[in-house]
Amino acid sequence: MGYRLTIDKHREHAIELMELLQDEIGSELVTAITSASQANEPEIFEQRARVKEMTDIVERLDTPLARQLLSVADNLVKKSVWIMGGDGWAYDIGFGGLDHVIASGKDVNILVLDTEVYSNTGGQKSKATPLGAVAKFAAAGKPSPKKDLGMIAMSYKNVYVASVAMGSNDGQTVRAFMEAEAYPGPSIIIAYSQCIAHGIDMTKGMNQQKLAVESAYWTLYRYNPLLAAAGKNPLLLDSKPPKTHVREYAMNEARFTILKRINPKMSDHYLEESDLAAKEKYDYYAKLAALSYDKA
Amino acid sequence: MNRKMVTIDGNEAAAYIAHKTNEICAIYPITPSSNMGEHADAFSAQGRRNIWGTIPTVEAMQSEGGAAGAVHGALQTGALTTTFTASQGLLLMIPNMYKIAGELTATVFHVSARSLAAQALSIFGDHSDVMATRATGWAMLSANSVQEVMDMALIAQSSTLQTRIPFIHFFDGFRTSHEVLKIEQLNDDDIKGMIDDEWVIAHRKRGMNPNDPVLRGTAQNPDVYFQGRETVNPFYEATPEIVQKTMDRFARIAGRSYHLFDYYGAEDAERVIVIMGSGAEAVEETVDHMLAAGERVGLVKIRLFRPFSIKHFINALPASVKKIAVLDRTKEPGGAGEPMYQDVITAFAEAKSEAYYQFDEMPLIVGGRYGLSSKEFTPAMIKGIYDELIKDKPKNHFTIGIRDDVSFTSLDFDPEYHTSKPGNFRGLFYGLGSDGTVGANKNSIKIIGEGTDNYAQGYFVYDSKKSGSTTTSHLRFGKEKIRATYLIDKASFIACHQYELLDQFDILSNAEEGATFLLTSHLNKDEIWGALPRHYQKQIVDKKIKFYVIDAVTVAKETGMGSRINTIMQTCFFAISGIFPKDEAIAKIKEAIKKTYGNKGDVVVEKNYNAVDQSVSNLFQVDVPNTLNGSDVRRLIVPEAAPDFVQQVTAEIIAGRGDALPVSAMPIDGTWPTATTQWEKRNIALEVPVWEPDICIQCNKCALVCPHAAIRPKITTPDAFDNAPETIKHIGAKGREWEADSQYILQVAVEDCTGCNLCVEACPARDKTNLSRKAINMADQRPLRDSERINWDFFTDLPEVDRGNVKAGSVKGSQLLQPLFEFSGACVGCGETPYVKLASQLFGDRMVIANATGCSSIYGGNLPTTPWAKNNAGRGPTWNNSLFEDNA
Ligand SMILES: Cc1ncc(C[n+]2csc(CCOP(=O)(O)OP(=O)(O)O)c2C)c(N)n1
Ligand code: SF4
Ligand code: SF4
Repeated sequence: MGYRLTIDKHREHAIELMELLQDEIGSELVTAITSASQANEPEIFEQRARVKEMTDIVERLDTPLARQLLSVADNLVKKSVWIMGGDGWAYDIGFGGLDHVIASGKDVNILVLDTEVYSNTGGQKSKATPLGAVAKFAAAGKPSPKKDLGMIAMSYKNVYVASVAMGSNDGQTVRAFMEAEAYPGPSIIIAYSQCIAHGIDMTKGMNQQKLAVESAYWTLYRYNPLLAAAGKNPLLLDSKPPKTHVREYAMNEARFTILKRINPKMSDHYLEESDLAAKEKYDYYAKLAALSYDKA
Repeated sequence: MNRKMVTIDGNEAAAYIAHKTNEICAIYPITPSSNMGEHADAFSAQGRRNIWGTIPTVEAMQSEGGAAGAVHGALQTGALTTTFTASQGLLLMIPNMYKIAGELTATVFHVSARSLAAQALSIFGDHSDVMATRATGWAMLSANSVQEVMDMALIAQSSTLQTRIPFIHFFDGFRTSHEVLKIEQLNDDDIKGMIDDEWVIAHRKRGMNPNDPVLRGTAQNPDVYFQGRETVNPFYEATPEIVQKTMDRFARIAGRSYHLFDYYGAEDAERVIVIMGSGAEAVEETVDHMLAAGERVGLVKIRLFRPFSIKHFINALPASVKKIAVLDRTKEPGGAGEPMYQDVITAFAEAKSEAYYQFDEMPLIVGGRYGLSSKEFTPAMIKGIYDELIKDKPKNHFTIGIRDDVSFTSLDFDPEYHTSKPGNFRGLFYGLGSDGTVGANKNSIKIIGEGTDNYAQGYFVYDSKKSGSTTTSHLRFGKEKIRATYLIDKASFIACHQYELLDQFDILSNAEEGATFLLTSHLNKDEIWGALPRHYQKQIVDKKIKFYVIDAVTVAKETGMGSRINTIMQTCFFAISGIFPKDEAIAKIKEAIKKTYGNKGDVVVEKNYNAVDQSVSNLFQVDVPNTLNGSDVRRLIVPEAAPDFVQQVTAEIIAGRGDALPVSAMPIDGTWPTATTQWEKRNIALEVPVWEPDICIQCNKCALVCPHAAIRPKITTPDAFDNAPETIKHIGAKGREWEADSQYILQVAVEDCTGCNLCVEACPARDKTNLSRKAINMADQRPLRDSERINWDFFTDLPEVDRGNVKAGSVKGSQLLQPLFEFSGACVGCGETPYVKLASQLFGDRMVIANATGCSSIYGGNLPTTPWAKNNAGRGPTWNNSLFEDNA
C-alpha cells in the first residue's frame, strides 16, 4: 500500500512538474504521456519510449525543476504493485491490513499463497486450515472450518477476486493473473499451494490440486467487478460440479490420515462434514454465479 | 520421588514447567519459540495434567498481539496464564505487557531470545528482543543452559506469584532453545514445593468477578496518573530479595544453588567479565582454563536483570577487581552504551556512597558486543577479551567475533586457543536435511545420555534452504558437565553422510590429531584413496586420522531400507567411536530399534536388525598410504562470469566462510543485488527430466508447474542453432503464430533442477508405442551434468521471445516469457513458487513487491543467493520483505 501511495504521489508530482516544463518538453509529448492508458504491454512499451524521450529532453535542461522531475519520472510508466504472503499472513495476523487495502480501492494486487498452514514456521494451523486437518497447534484435528477469504473480499463489490489451483485448471490461473493485474483497483488471488506440511507425495502435488477441485474441497472462480459494471454477473464459477467425495482427496494427505489413525470416529465425522460443506459451498457459488445482473 | 535424567532441549524444558504450572497457554508461532507452544499443545492433547490435576487449555491466537491480549484477559479473570514467544512476537506483546505490569499481575512469559528485523531479518539468537522490553516493568530472569531453563522457569513462576511482578524468563534462541542436553527433570513434588497454594488462590481472587465487581483500566488525567504510576515501587523494591529467597528454597529442594548475580572465578580476580545468557557457560569454562594457568580472572553471571539490584550486583564482585568488561548480546545504535554496560556503570556510580561498597578505587569498565544473531562466542574470543583487559587502556564499545574494518571496534584474538580436554568425545556429522542424520544423532544422544553416566550435548546447524539443505550435528559426550555453548572446532570424530559434501565443505579442517573419520562412499577399498581430493589425503596423513568407509547407500538398498542411510551410519558410528564396547553398542542400537519400531511388527524390526548387522560387516578401515595422489583442482564456487560482488561476497557465504567477511563487505543498508541464484549451482537432483522432442506437443505445461524455473521453452529462428553444442535438441515450432521453420526448444537447467518430478507429472504427451514414456522422463543427473551445463548456457544466450508476439494470457504463451523468479531454495515440489514465478513472467519487468514474512520471503530473500532476477534490459522485480503482521 505504501508503494502504491508513493507511486501515485510521484506520478502526480511528475505530471505537475511536466506541466511546469511544458514549453521545454513540448505540450504534445506531455499530453501523450499524461493521457496514455497503458492498458496492455505494447502500450506500456510505448509509454516507456515516450518517457525516455521526455527525460532525454529534461536531462539537458539541468535546472532544479528538471532534476526534481527526473527523480520521479519513472513513475509515469505503469508499475505493478504486488503484495505477497501466505495464508498465515492473509487470514490471520495480516488480515486487518489486508482488509484495509482491499477496502481502499487502490490499484494493488495481492497474491495469497494458501498452504492452509504456517509453512515457514513448521506447519501451525491458521484460519485457512480446513476442518479436521491435523496441524501443529491442532494436534487433535482442527475443529472449525476454513474461513472463506474470497467471499469476504467479494463483499466489497469493487475488488477483483480469484480462487485458483493451477494443477486443476492452469488456463484459469493464467487468466486470473492477467485480469487481476489489469483490474484498476484492488485484486486478490487466492492460490491453492501444496506444501510438505500436508504430508503428501510431493511428486503428485498438482494431482492433489485436481482432486481438491473435483470434490469441491477447493472452488475455482473469478469475480470481476468490471463485468458488473457492464451489466453482467461478476462471478464466473470455473469449477465443474463436484463429482467425488472429499475423502478421495483427503486420504492422500497425512494431515487428514493421521486423525483417521488416532481418532477414526472424529475423522469420519469431519470428512462427512467437509464433504457436505464443500458441496453446499459449490451450490451457493453456483447460485450466485447464476444471478441476473441485467439492469434492463 | 526420584528425578529422571532426560535428554531434551531448552524449549521442551521451558514448556514442561510452563505446562505444569499454568491453566491457560495463549500461543502464536515464531522461531525459535514455536516448539514451546507445540509441546504445550501436544501435552494437553495427550491429556497431561498440571500439578493441580487439570489439563491446561492451549489456544492459538491470530497474532502475538492477540496472544498477549488473551493472556491479559485470562489473567484478569484469575487464571494462571502463560505464553511463549520471541523477536517480532515479543515486540507485538509490548503494549499489553505495560498493562499487565501496571496492574501488578503475576505471569511468566517464556522467551527464546532472538534477533530483530533491522537491516535484515534473522531467526537466530541474541538479546535484542528482550532488551526492547526493559521499560515495560517486567522482571527479567535469564537461564544460561538447558538445565537452568527448567530451573529458572520454575523460579520465575514461583517468584511472580509472590511478588505480583510479571516475569520474562528468557534463554538464548537456538543455542539454548534447540540444544539437546542431558538434564535432571524436576518432578511434581519439586514443583509443588516451590508454589504455595495460597499464592495461587490470591492470584485467582484478584481476578475480576461480577460477584465482587471492580473497575480496572481507568482513564486517568494529569492530576493523578503520575501518582498512580508510583504506587508500584515497593513491589519492585521487594522483588530481588524475594527472588533470592525463592532461589534458596529451590536450592534446598533441588540441590542447585543460584543467586541474582553469580560470581565465578578467582577470589582475588582483577579482571572480570559480566555477562548474561548462554555465553556465560563458555566464559565459565574459559575461566577454569585460565585459572589453571594461574591467571586471576572471574565472571559475573547476571540472572535477575530486572529489577536490577545494585547492591546485590556490587556485592557479588570481589574487592580485588580492577577491570570489568560488560558483554551485551544486543546493539543499541546511538546509545551511550549497550544496556548491561550502562547498568553496570550506573551501579558503580550509585553504590560509591553506600556502606556496602567495597572498592578503594572504581574499576575500569568497558562494554562490548558479541554473538549477534547466534554469532559464535568461543573460549578463544573470551580469552581475547580478558587479554584486552590487561592493557592500560582497553578498547571500549568493542565487538568480538567479527572483523570490523569500518569503525575498527573489533578485538583481535588467537583462534588457536582451545579449552577442550582430551578424552571427551566431540563429534561432527555432516548430512542433508533430508537424509535423517539429525534424527539419528538425536537418537544417539538419547541412547548415550540415558544409557550411560555420560553427560551428553547435541546441537544442530542447518542452512536455511528448504531443499537440499545441509546439516551439521555437533555432539559432545563426557564424564563432566558440558558447558561448551559453542560449535565444535576440534573434533575427535567426523562423519560425512553424503559423499558429495566432500566437495562443498572442507570437512576435515576441524579434525584433531588422531581423530576418526567415517565416510560413506560407493568406492571400494582399492579405489577410495585415489578418489579423495589431495587436501583430504594430506589432512588424513598429517593428522594421523583413522579412516573408515562404508557404502551406506548400497547397504540401505540391499537391506530394504530404501534411501534411508541414517541407521546404517549410526551403527558405524557406534561401532567405531569407542563410546561403548562394540558389541554392547550394537546391542544398544538394536534395543533402540525395538523401541521405535516395535509397534510396526517383527518384520520391520528384523529388517532394521539386518541393516545393523550388514553395516558392521560392510564397514572397513582404509590402510592409509603415504602417497598424496588425489586431484588438487578445487571446484569453483561460482562461475568466473559472475559479477564482482557475487565473487567477493556471495561466493564466500556459499563456501561457508561468511564468518570471515569483514564489515566493509556488507551493504550498509541491507540492499543486495538481485538475480544471484543463477550463480549457485546446487546440483541437488539425483534425477532430472530429459526431453523427447518428437513426442512433445509443446504445451509448456511442464514449465508452468516447475517450482524452480528449471525447465524452459523458447522459440527461435533455425539459424540460432548454427553453432549449437552437440547434444542440444530442438524441433520445428508448432502453431500458426510462428513463422514457418521457427524452432522450439525445451531446455532443463540440470544443475538447478531439484528433481521434483512435477514437470513429468504435468506432461500430457505420451509415446503412442510405449505409453509409460512421456515427452519428458526422469533420468540420472550425473551423466548429464556436463553436457547439459553447456546446453543451458547456450540456451540462456538464445534471444528471448518478443513479448509483443506471444499470447501472454495463455498457458503456452505465458511460459515463453522469461521467468524473473528462478532457482529458489523452496522445497522440492513446492506449490507456492509456480504462482510466484508466473507473476514474474507476466509482469516482472515492472513489479514492485511487498512480501510478508513466510516461506515466500525466505526462499525469496534468504542469503546467500536470491531468486528474483532481471531481464536483459536490466529490469526486474524489486522486492522488500515487510513485517509478517504489517504487509499492507
Ligand atoms: C510478528 C511475527 N510473528 C511471528 C513470526 C514468525 N513467522 C514467520 S513466517 C510465519 C508463518 C508464515 O505462514 P504463512 O503466512 O502461512 O506463509 P507460508 O510460510 O505458509 O508461505 C510466522 C509465524 C513473525 N515473523 N513475525
Ligand atoms: S513446500 Fe516448502 S517452501 Fe513450499 S510452502 Fe511448503 S514449506 Fe514452504
Ligand atoms: S523436476 Fe521439478 S525442478 Fe526439475 S525441471 Fe521438473 S519441475 Fe522443475
